[in-house]
Amino acid sequence: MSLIAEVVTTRPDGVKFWLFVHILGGMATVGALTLCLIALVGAWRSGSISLTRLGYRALLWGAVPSFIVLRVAAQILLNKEGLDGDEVDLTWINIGFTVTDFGLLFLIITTVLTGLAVRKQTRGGPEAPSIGVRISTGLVSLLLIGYLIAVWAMTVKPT
Amino acid sequence: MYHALLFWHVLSAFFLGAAVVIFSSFVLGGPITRPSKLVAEILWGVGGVGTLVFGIWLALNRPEYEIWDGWIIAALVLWILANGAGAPVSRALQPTSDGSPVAIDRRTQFAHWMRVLWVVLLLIDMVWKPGA
Repeated sequence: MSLIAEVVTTRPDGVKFWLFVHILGGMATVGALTLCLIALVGAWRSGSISLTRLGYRALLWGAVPSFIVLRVAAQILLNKEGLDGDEVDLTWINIGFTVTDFGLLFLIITTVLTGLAVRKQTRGGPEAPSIGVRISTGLVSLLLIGYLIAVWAMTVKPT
Repeated sequence: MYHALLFWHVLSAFFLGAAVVIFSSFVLGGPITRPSKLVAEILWGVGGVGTLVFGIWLALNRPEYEIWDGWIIAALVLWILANGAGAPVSRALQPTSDGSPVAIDRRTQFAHWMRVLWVVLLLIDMVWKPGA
């Protein structure tokens, strides 16, 4: 059996469980961000409040909770695999940290901006999309590119 | 080669996951627009083909895996079940002109949540690889 196969198939069940939670959280985060992006692009083009609201809900109810699941599971995994020490300096882990740390900041900014856009439109604001929707669309696009790089790093594991 | 195949396989799985999330928003009463339905269908289609093709390629590429291993057969069965459950959902969920929510019948809702279950079981199968 090759080293890769041995590592993949001989992980303890505890590690496999958190790996499952980590991937599931990642999939849900990417899915919610994709849904948000489609909704915000639609809102940008049409000024539809229902699409702006969908984008906001996708972030608040989908992306934020699933991001927390992804990040907590990642930290538990690192701990269980003994990779959370200061002496560990692996490129793929550093990429993961960079994407999730900046990702959290972007996620918070995007959620707040989209929430404010919903509030503005609900109060009878202009039909034209607010600047907040446009900025959020850009930030969500950046987040998705970041997660694409993270998926690449987690699978290819560059050193 | 192994890592490249694994990347495309996992990326395809993320497409499937994204499609499931978007379809879940439709079933939960979110607006169904023509672009959102189209993106969901493309993600499901590309993700489905990608996971299958790169998954089989991976199994053929690695000497320690065989295409007739129990967990790979289970994955193929779950993949077929997920696609079988998804087909009626795709037919039933039609976009409205103004993107307003549409009433979803119970059978379609059941089929959708079964698809979610099959996809989650697929992920469990991929992580635990029972019998490998």
